[in-house]
Amino acid sequence: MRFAALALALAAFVFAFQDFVQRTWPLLGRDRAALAEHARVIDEHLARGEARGAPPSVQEVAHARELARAWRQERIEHERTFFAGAARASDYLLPPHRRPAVDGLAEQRTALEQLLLSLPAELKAFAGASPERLGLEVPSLSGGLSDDERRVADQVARSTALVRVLAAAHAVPNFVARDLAFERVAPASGSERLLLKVGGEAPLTDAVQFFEVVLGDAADAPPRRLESFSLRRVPANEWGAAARRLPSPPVRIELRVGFEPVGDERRAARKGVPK
Amino acid sequence: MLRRAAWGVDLTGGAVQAVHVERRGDRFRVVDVVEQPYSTPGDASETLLSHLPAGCDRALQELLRRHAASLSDPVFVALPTFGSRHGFIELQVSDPAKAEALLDFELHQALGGDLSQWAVRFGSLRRRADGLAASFFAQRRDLLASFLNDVRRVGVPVDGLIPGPVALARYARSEWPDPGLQLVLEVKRTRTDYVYVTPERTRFRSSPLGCGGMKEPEFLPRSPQRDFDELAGRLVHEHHAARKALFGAKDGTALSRVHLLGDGARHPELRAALAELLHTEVVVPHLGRTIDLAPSRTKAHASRALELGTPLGLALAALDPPRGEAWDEDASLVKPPAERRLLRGLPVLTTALLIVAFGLLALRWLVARDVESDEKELARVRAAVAWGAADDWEEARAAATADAQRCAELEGKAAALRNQMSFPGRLLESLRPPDVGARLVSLLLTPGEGQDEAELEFEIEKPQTKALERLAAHLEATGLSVVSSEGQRTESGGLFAKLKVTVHRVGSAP
Repeated sequence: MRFAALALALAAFVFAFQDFVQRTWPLLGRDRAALAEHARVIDEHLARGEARGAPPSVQEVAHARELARAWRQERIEHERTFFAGAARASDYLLPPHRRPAVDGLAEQRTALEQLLLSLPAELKAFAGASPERLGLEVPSLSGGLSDDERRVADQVARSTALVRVLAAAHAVPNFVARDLAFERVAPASGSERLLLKVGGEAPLTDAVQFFEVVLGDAADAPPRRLESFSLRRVPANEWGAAARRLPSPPVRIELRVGFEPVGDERRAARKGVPK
Repeated sequence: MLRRAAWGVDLTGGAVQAVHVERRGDRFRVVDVVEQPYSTPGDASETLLSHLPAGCDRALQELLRRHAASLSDPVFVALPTFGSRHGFIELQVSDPAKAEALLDFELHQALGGDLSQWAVRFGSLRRRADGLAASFFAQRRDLLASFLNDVRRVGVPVDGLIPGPVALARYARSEWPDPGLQLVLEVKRTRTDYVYVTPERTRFRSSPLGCGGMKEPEFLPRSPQRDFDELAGRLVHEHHAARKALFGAKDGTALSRVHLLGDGARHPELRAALAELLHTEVVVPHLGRTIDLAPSRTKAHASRALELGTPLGLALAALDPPRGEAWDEDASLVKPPAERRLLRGLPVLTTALLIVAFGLLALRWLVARDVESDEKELARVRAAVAWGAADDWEEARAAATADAQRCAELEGKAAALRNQMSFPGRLLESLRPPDVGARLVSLLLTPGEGQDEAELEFEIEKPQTKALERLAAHLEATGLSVVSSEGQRTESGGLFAKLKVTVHRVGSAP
């Protein structure tokens, strides 16, 4: 009887020991790991608390997100106003009420082709200015607009820049156009920029008006940035044909205009920024 | 709880008398009683022998056959006191540390030399007015071994061996802890033990005279008093002789009570005769102070069990050994065999294994609960501090800052463009008043970071005094800062003025 009880107790002990090895020991390991992780999390909390201070409350976070949302709206509004509703350079080929375009570049390409076709006639006012010298690729029956996106973007930049200058030249009646050229400059940082150099002669008042029209608010071109502007009196012996065309003594105008880039990557929405 | 039980077995006096006693806390319960007579009916005396009496073998075999299972409990057997010595050694010292050597010396005197032939047990040291004192019991080792071999040869396991009268005194002290001198008179079939018990000391004597000559109570003749008077007279005579031998002729201590035990306790006539002769109250136990009987036993059985003083004393000594005393008169003269100790250790081992097994299983439950609790706490601690909120806050702040910078940048650009655009017009407007008298001949406007710079060239046909300064002052008044100015006379008497100015931006964002 006693030996039977001992045998049963031994069997129970073996079962319990096996259970301990197979289940309890891993549980103990898990427990130790949980305790160690617990200590590590508390240390991390303390370290982060020392380094960054107490975390904000839910209300503070909500307030910060609200402010960020307001700033984002304000930035969008500013950009819409500054860039006349355009999100990329090709949007200036469309009327303002259809910007930014959401249906791809098909319509802009058509508008660009039409613009490129109409520009050569408009350039006749500028002596020596031709589409080739200005880097314009005028579509023809044998060859349409290139499929290369970079070339298309370059054509967009050049054509939209010309639109504003040509509009100013037509708006100022006593402006005698002389030079028109594009210039590529490489700034210290960022991508290469396109500058437009305009030269001509006009009476002083008209020169100022031309300057104001070129730089003034307009929805058909990107915001313009003045690079330099010079007015210089033209000696009388150099008036030439202008003396017959202009009602008052002319001044020589040299205007270099840059264009604000549209669709800058920096303005893309960041991760976590409230929509 | 582990069950603790023991057997007390008395083989002398014409019958095997055994009790199986169980300990329950401070109390004891008699669970079994065995009485197996082996003396010849009518035989009232025995030869005092140190070995087993004749006929005892068969009675023991019967005991073994019927109670083999429970004999795994400790079995304590009463040792016949034939050939033994017992006494009381008084020492004239009060320091217990010196007592042992002195006791050894005194024991040599009492036992006559070589102690190696004796198995000796001392009682506890008692402090007296004139020193220390201790009782002792000594039995010759050859007699002890002879008895032990006889009993073990039959097959009865012997875990302890205690002198019968000493065990009887143990029982008496447990049941009747009264002060004064008490006589425990255990009248067996073929012998009688006289045990004189005081709180300090035990004295005893045995005589080969019992009540075996009397018929069983149910078969007694109609007027048996004469036989009992005669038996009582012989017992009292032995008592006086024993008392004189043990206490001395001049001892005047009165007996406070006489306890009648054994087979003689079954005869109320004997008790009455003894009371009349001893002039003292003679009592037969009917109710135990610390001992009770299993409920299945009848009242008659219960009172009969309480009359088996020696077996009960043996069982009490087995179940309740005195602790913390260096010497113990009740201690067994032999040790239990190793296999018996091992067998009795099995329940402890079994219990220990079960406890460990249960503990291991319970540990898993506890650890699982602990793991769950710790992991919950870990998740709580992780979520307690909203570093995610801090990150969101930082993100929102960075985005808002970037947007604000962009807004400021656009506002600045717009303001700069407006300034640049309006500068030539404003300049011409400021030069229009007639008092200026200067004609703009050249303008070079160059935008800067925070302000624009311009180089202006004027022609003044009829320059007045300090015309250049006046022109510069006029330009300053229009919001320009003149950085440098230089004048040069022309051939026609005019003044050619060249000024470098910075153009402050005016107005705000569009």
